[in-house]
Amino acid sequence: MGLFNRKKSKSKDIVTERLVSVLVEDRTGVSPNTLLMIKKEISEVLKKYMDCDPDDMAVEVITRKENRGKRSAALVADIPIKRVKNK
Amino acid sequence: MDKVIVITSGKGGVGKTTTTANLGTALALLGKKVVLVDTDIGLRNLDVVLGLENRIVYDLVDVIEGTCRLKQALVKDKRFEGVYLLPAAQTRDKTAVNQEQMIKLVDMLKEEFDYILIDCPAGIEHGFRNAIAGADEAIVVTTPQIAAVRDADRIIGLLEANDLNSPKLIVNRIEPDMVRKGDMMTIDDIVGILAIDLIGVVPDDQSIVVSTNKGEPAVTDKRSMAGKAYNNIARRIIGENVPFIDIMAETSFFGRLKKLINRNND
Repeated sequence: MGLFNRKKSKSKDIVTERLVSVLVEDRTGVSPNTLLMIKKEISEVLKKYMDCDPDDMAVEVITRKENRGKRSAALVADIPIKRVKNK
Repeated sequence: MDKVIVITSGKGGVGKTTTTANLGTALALLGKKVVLVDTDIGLRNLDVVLGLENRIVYDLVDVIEGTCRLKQALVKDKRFEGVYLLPAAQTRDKTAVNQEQMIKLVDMLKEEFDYILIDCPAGIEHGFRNAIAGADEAIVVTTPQIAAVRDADRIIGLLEANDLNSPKLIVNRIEPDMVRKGDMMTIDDIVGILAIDLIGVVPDDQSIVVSTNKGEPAVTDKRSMAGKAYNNIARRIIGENVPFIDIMAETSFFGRLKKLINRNND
């Protein structure tokens, strides 16, 4: 019947995710691998100042519209802080 | 929008030529004098989609090379006041024309017409660069498929690099039933990803096949959903504020009935 196992993800979610990831590389030349490395290195730098879990970090390239209609790319990092280290 | 508009997509087969034919005819029905320029040299098709293939004497390359005057090459559509076609050459290739010549040609057309719609070939090479050379603005056509949206994104980047900023997006062949099932990207998904302004949504519509078979643009068929969508886009081009049709809501009674029955058969 399939009434109880309907939790599989929709194909449009899969395609949207694949598209977004391929476009980041098309637009900026930044590969998913490079993003992963950037993420790791940022967390290394931050270690000196605060506790952050690299698994909670999101580092991504977004596209935004400038006021004159041109698109531009930006690196956006969302890093939840667990604890700030006291000096 | 400005008067010289290139219709482009990157990927082939997403509906550039159908869009050009329908927008051109719709603009003429709104009282504008419009010329449709086929720049797909070697693979011309705008003539057959418009149903004007038997009326071609000269073509775009003839005009550029001075074999004929511009007026001799323009094919006037006798069915719709204000529609003119400048056909592409079929037996030449894209290198027969360069960007400077295209700009000159468009400048000549500007004196005669309210709108110049340029049907761009697929790809990002010579033909694309020719097509955008004389354009003031661009309309990017895509379909809700990953390959089409990816190519549209690339095209948008190239348009911006050539100072054609703020291109407008048409999402073609959307299938509301598939969107509803979660098996097709939504308009919001696509617009969000491409980050440009939407100028129209055209539903997948079998009437397009029929109208293309007959060589009559769908905008003249009052029952055609796609035709209605193209008419709305034309009105937005001339500056009217036309609300977007809620395609998801526009399913026929029988469509909904069929879905109900299918669901019970699952």
